[in-house]
Amino acid sequence: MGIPARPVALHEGPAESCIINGKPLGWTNCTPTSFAMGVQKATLGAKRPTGCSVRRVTGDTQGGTTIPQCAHAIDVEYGIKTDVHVGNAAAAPSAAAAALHRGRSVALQGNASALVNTEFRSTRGAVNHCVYVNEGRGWHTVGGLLVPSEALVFDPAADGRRAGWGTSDDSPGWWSWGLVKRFAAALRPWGDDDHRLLGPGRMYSAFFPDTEPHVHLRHGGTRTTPFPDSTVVHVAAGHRANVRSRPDRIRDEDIVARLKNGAPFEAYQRTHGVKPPGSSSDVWFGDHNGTRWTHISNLARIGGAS
Amino acid sequence: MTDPIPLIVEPGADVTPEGAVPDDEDETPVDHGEPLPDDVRDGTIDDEADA
Repeated sequence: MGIPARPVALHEGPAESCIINGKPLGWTNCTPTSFAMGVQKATLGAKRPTGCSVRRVTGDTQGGTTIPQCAHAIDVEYGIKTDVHVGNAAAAPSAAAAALHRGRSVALQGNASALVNTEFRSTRGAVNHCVYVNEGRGWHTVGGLLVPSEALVFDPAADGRRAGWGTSDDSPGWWSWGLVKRFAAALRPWGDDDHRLLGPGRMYSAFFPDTEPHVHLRHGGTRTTPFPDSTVVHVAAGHRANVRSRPDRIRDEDIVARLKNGAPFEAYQRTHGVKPPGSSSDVWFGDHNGTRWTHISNLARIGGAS
Repeated sequence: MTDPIPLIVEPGADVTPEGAVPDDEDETPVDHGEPLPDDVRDGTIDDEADA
């Protein structure tokens, strides 16, 4: 696997870098700037908007912007569709990790308070913020979930400037996955003036398209139709779908994840494996790398079915 | 060409009962007791003034 496509780093400041209707908006443009980098990656550099141009499409010149606003803007202006995960539908960290693992980049909201005492500091203090996450590295399994050791993060505020509090980091930088999660968990969903934090387990985020849809066929797998096939977990209440490292046997040590009802499972390949006890089918669906498989009986919306 | 997918398959043949394995704390969302807002605005970075 080669080095994933990477955008040219974009920065949001200074304030005068983006003047719309006479308003200097540069320092409020972290989310539009993150989405602008996502457009670069999603089009392999064919389209290179600035954060300010994305901001202009939102039509909003009051303070900061939201993920849904910017997702709509790049869909309308550049035809780039993202999967938006906000509110109670915010993504689990493992879902964001899985997106990165299969070549999708992520715009991620959090709070800069998590960065203040790190080498990645880019603001004076706490403020709701958005960064662009391009890829992960050092992939391994923790508690049955595939996670990266580090993620390549493009922070629109990390421009290397000297400020009263010190010198800003100059992005991009490889953040530990733990720092990515702390940044996301520090988001203040009800605004910077409300002390309540989002907390762990959710990431306000948007997943960009895979720039290089391909599959590593394993275990006799063949490509799904459509490719990839956006299925969802559908099992009986009170149960979770087992995801296994291989489809050809049923052993506890092969379980790498247990997915909840409704969780997305992006299938890239299918094969004939073992029949689970009591099942009449030996069909299994696998992920992009062929290292995560689940049985056909655990999935719905296969082949685009409703 | 791939062979056809069977139209009817019994649901959930390879599953684990909820609670059989403890959840990762980092994967367990906080219950705020009220719906989370969809539209969270990023803030204004204010440190340019002391640059």
